Amino acid sequence: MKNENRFMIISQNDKPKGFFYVFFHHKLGVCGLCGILLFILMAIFAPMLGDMPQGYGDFSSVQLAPSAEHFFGTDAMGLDVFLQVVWGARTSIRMGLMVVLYSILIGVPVGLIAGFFGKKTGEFLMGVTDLFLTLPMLPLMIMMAAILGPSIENVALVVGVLSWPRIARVTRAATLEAMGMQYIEAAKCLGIPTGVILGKHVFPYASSFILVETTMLMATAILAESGISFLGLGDPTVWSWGKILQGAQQNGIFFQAWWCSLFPSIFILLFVVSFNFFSLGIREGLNPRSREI
Amino acid sequence: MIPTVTITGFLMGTMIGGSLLTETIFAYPGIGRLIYEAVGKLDYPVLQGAFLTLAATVIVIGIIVDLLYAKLDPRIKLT
Amino acid sequence: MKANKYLLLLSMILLLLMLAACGSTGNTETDENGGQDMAQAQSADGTLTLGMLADPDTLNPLATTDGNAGCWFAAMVYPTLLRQDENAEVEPYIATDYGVSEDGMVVTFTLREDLQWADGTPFTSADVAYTKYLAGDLGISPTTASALDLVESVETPDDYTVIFHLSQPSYSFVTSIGVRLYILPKHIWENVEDPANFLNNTNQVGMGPYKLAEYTEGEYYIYEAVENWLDAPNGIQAKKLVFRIYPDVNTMALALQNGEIDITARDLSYDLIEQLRGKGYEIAETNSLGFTHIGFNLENEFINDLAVRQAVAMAIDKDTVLQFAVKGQGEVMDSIVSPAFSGLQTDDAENLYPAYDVEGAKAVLAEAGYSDTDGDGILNAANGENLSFNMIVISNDVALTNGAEVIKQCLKDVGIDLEVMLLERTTFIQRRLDIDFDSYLASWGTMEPMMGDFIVNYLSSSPVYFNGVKCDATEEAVLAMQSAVNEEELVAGIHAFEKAMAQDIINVPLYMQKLSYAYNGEAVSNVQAYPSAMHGVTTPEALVNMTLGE
Repeated sequence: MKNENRFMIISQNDKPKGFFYVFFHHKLGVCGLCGILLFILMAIFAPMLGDMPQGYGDFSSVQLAPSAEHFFGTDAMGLDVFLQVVWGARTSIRMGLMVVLYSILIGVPVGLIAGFFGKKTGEFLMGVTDLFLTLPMLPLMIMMAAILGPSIENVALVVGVLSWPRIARVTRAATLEAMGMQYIEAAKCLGIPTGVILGKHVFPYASSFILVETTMLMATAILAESGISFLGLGDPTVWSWGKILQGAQQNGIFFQAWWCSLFPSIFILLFVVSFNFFSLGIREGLNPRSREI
Repeated sequence: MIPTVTITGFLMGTMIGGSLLTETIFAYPGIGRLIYEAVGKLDYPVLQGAFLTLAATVIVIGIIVDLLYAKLDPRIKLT
Repeated sequence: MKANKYLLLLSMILLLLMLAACGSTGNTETDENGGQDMAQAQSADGTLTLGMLADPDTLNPLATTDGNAGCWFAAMVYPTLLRQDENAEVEPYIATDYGVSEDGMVVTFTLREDLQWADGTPFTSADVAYTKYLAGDLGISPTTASALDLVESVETPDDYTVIFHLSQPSYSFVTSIGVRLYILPKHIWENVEDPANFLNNTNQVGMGPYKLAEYTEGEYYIYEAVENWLDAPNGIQAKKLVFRIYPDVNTMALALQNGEIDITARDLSYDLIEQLRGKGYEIAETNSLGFTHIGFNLENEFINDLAVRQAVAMAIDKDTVLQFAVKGQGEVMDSIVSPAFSGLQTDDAENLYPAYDVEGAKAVLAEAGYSDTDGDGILNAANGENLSFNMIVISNDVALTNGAEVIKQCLKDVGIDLEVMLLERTTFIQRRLDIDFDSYLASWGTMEPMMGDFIVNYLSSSPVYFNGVKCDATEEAVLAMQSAVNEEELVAGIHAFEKAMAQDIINVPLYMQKLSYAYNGEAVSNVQAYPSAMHGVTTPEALVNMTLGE
């Protein structure tokens, strides 16, 4: 009897629950995923919901309250707020992806190198990273956005260049962990070039940690973009949620035409919360402890 | 306690930066609004000064955080 | 370990210092009123708090070209020979009388004899002559330069008479100089080394009802009332004026509702006015004597092409611009002479500019050789370049930014790509002075034909001629206005100018706006808005007449 019991337990331990099993049982994570999918669908099908609002609408339809015709009402220029929000999702996702791309391009190599070479190189790189991490981001972003000029690419570049340190830190931590593992030792002994070790053996180990961080970064990127747009330094040619808010604030209809300020705010909130929940789910799924019984 | 202090240290930077939006919207005369206005005028000396002050604040907070580690956790020794 | 303790102590002290720096305003003299304590406007001690949108361009009354705080502050401290009353009629101020000789070549001002500067020095004709020397001979004052260029010599036969000898007759000279030239005390300004760049931010000696007490750039300007102002024998109720700067009109409206300010010194948008009226705030209204227009820089190769300017004038739906910019609170302009001066317009004023006609605009452009060769919806010039230029706009003026949206769309419909550049107010003013733009959208604070304002702004040699290149027809008409010797000639000149402007199209007049200011009726009453966006409720007489309390 006693032996049998022990055998049972061991067999369970041998078969840990899969990542997807844990993730899909993590309610918040699933909620986040649903939210993200919704935003992606919204962005993809934006042109089918209506043309991008631009210029001005009909003067008789200025600042209309939400109705069946205009789901989210209209703004001071007589444009449909629902379509602005939908097209804003496009900007947000595009912007988020670009930010993630930029910060991975900078952050991952820095993290890998800092973790792999250790000692002086590592310390130096981490010093730089810490410097960037402690710098107040928003003022710097505003300054860079103002100097580079208002376009979505520039804003993404600015946010990306200033948020890579988080990726770098996570990558370094994972790299340091991997360095202690025997297969890296073995690879080193076999004389495999450093680049290949980093790319083929260390990076895959670190990638799951990086994934968690990038989802968080998407949320930060959108907040930063909204802030910059709200201050009027965003791209004037595309819609973004921050820009809708700025329009409402500029026109002094923040409270009268509450639909102009409420809906974009809700979408910013939902977007950020979705990505944060999603990252919680992924973290849970990747955490070996939660995958055991 | 140690992680709390660490996070607080990092948050200070964000906090100082984050005040920019609040100050701009509510016309509160702070360093954030100063930066925003200087950016509009591309007034570089003001920007340099503002960033120097911000950086100094962040560094001082960093030092305090480091020193607090030693106070809070006897196992950590500053060398 | 000991060293660490000191380090910790040092850091703590540094942090404390930084925290302390946040607390006080850093200026001990003004602690009780400066900074955050200013948040509650107090009318009990004679303090009146006003909201404005930007710093003055300069506190130097000679150099200011700003239709805002720059000229409010100049007028509050420095007098002019003549001034305008609440109906925009010219009346004497520090000059009791003025006259023009029959040939129009000699202009005489008789000055008031009982006046003295704030430091007690008597005011004499020498001050006027010296101001003319600074503004005219040294060429410092951009807004009066074109009028002062006509002055051959100034004569001061006695202490209270000033005689200007002109090189050519000019009917508008009297009012132009009388109302626009701030008179400065000679005994102060002759000691100033570089009057053009003089900051004039301490110990101002003027003769107006107020003097600058202290200020912090970007935050507030505090003015104190003088003891005995010439037109307020019973003293001034608003002993102290605090002008606070807000980033936009909405924050300013919010500040009014929070009790931070008593009056908005800048006009508010229609939505805000309606909202505030609904909440029981009082509104002061007046018609603007200025207008909103697009100005062209003819140095740009596209804009230099008259066909492009014609197309722009035809493509813009002014009614729609008026609707979206100011919610229809104003009147569309058909000619350069505003409907506020309808008596001065020529008979067919409404037909001078080409009418709104999108197809017509396209036809004009096609005829001039522009066609969309690369299929991107934007017309191309013969060399393949996109027909594209920029338009600079002040970013925190919602009427202008909304108007710019409409204009951009209108031009897009005819295939012109307009890049709207939103600029901070002082940057805008600077770039316009430097002619660093292709076109601009702005409101003139005031533009009075009879006072020679057209001459000031459209004489190609004027420092405030923003169109870059001289246009012959316009120039000729401006010179005709300048040399008019009597009213009929000036009116004829204005009519000719109106036609010349519509022919050269160096700017597109859009609309004249109604200006509305809001104030807290419990804190201040008797608020009168003067019909010029230059001053509005901040005209010296308006400020002096305000009654504090209910």
